[in-house]
Amino acid sequence: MQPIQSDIATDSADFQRQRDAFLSRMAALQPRRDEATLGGSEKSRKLHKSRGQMLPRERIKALLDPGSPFLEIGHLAGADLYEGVPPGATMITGVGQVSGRACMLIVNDATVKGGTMYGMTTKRHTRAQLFAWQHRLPCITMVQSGGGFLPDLANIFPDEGMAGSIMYNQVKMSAEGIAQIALVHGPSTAGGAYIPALCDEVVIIRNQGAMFLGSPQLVFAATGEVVDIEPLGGAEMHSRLSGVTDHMAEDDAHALQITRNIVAHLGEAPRLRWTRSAVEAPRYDPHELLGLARTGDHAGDCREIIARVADDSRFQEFKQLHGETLVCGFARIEGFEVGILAGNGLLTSQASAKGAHFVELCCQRDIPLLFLVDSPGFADSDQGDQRGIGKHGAKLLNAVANADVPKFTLIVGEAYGAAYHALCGRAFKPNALLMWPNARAAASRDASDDVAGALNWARHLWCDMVIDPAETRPVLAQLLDVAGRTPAKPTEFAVFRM
Amino acid sequence: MTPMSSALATDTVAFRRQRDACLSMMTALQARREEASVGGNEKARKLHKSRGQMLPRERIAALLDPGSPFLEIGQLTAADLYDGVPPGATIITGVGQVCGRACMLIVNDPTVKGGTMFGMTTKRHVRAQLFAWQHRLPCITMVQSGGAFLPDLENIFPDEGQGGSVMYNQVKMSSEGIAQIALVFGPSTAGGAYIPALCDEVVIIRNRGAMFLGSPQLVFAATGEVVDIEPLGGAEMHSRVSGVTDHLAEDDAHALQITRQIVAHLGEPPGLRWTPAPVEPPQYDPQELTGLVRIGEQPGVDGREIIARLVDGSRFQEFKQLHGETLVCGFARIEGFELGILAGNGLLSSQASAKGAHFVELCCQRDIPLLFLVDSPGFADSDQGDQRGIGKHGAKLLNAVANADVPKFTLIVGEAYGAAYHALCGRAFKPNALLMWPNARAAASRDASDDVAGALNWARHLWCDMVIDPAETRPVLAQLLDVAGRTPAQATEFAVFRM
Repeated sequence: MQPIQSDIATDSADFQRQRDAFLSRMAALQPRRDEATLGGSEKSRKLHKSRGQMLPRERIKALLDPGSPFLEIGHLAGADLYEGVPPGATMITGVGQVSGRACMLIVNDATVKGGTMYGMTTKRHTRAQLFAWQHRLPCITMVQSGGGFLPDLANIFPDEGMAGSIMYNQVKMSAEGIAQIALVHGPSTAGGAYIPALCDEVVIIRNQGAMFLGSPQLVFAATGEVVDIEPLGGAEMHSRLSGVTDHMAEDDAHALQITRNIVAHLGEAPRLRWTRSAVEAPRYDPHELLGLARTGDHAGDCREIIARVADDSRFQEFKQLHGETLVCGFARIEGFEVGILAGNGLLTSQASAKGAHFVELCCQRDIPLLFLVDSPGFADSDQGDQRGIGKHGAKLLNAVANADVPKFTLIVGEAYGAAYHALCGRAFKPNALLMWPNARAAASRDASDDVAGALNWARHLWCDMVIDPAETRPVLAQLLDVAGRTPAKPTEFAVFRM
Repeated sequence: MTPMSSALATDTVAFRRQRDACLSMMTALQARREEASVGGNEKARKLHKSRGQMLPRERIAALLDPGSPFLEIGQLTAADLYDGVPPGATIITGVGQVCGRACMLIVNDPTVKGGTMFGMTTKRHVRAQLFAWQHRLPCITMVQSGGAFLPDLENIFPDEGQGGSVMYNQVKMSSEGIAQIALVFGPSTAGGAYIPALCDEVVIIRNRGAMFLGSPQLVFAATGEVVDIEPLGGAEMHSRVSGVTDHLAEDDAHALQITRQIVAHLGEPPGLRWTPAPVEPPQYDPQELTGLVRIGEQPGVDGREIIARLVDGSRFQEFKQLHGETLVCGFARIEGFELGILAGNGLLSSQASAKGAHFVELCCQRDIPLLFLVDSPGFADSDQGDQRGIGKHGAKLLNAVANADVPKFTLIVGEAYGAAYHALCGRAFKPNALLMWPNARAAASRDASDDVAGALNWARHLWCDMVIDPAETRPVLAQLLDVAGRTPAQATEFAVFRM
């Protein structure tokens, strides 16, 4: 297989200008990430530590295997939506290795508004659960929350995708053998007490953790003192008498150590169903992606992007001469084989049929799909040879929705109209939906950056992560490693030539 | 089994006061239902008919078997949410019989804002699809829409549960053998053109229906004229040349007739997996329910008084009558269908929760559907005597209800507060349908105002599927049970745990 030959002059003024524009977008996003990572104000962090407790990200670090990356999902959820709440919605969710096994961590941040739950907190929590469910990841929930934010109850209480779904998802996952573990670091009261109570195995911390229903919670939430409620719902009572908790820890560090031991006994760890090749770097530096990603109306040939994402820049292209607005082919990313569909203009009838055909191939071969999305939409019916676009576009939508291989969507440029859906938009249930900081997605190209931009998509959790182009390869490799440890689902149809 | 005996005096002043209060709530709701049923204003309806087209509810009546009831889902959706839009959100969804087979109908109402889609329109569409998916009902979509309402795009475009999910659900259902049929009565443009294009079989109406992507749609949406776009995306072109549509109809009535013939060839219709007993009325008149429902702060009646007026012969085989008495559990029949009833009768205690979990296990073992008659102020507090383990016992009930793979129906007859709402099969626990009586209230806490907790608000946001009059509870449940009983049973793989 021949490597892709790049035509980009990386020393041109045009390239430099592009790269500078891109860097300024990334720089604008960085402070929002920093806010999210910091959590609550200095005062509340100090108060938290003064109780002998670890900060939520310290807990995460102590739980994970040394050096394990933490792949955060929904880092910017809720940004600017709630007064005084930094991006993240009072919660941290993401994937990391514990005792050698990938786990989903769902962690209240008690330093922000006491860990109070907003509508977006429950949305982030349920999104993390659905990611865990799809990948059969054990869920480790670290509980320390003051309960629901009362003025936002309409987004927390009644509907699917809210708090009720948190409980529902827990026990459905448990029924499917996906371990549910909770650490009770602080109060867990009223309906929230059911989050740990519904877990398979629960660790509670002496003099800090408490679980109960009813009115003393109000005193507790106000003061953080558990003095009088120990006999009612404290760690000793639940560990010795009621049996609601299974392990009693002396402090945060002890609880995290116990949790590592619990994970070490979850049985046989799932294996990768694909054989990973030796990792090879692309022949072209991924950092060059900054100079060729779409900003504004400028876009290059998507093969230039593939050349900087795929191992050794090798790309086995399929139907290169047909439907050329959708580039399809096979490649490897950090050793993982993938089928890539890369938008390269308006989706025509030919491009749609080709895409459907290619998706079928990947399903037959159990090769995961990567959508590199850059498309202004579908062709208009009044363009030559496009009267059947409804039929051919439907083939692509049909194939993408029904493809039972892992699917990853990365919006690298623009995703407008039905092309967003067809290239595996959120409703088509990709395993993860990522955006580069320059990406835009909306029903039409008229939408402002406030609506179509990556920050707005991350804020509403319409995407899972905004990633820097240069980290695309390691992030995808992590996602592929997690997705490859689930059972393959056979495809039962022969390949239709569309 | 001896019938229940009611302890309720129906000739008292208190009873009549209750009944009057309930009737006035029903009357207030009835006005909103009528708005929903009328659809657009007189001018829009006249214009629609002047084009030789049938009104959306006329289409529904013509498609259904004569005399088949139409069980509407989401009738009050979006009430008061969009200026100038009556309840319903410019779409009509519900279940009815076509050629002897229950189908889900999803019908644009072009007499309201030209059938423009709002966020709640897509939510109602998706809810109808999920109901159809769960019950394996063929979906018949009648398309005539001006497209999306642009200021509401963030509730239509980006996320799951919106426009993309409409398409996703169509093709996933198709892959599971659930037929997808569309009738193209009018414009179907831009992304919306994919709704019919993704169906298994499509009927289009000459000179009326059109499907295309791109700019001429704007002219079309504005004028409703298809003159110049026939070669681009009209019925003739798609039926003869592109093959995007499968049947060409002369007019609405013809299209509906063709659709009935399509449904007649969907293969063997699903049989009922349960044997219904002969229907018997309750020994106590269901009309009396209006006099005993909970209204406001007053104490509710014993859950058995409600059951006595809902079940065949008022016969109720109660389980663990002496234990955990704040949750009444037992077996009964409604219009011949066997079911297991869990009726809230006060604060859910540890004992009541464990009992409920045990009873749900029994129903799963026996493939008996569950009916939750919800009236509960919440779970007991941990500081009440003997309730320190409530977290553990409540979790058993939540666990059993979520994992019960029999059909589940939730009817909020009184109040549903806090975690008791979830445990008695709230929306997130995926009941096959969630119904409310007009007096019902549901919220995180009892402090919530009626504007928040009341049935109209729940119906408006589609947190419930239907608000029904107490007296129509039996026939509505019987219809739902008949539909649910035509799906394959799902085996339960655990023995019954004594909790």
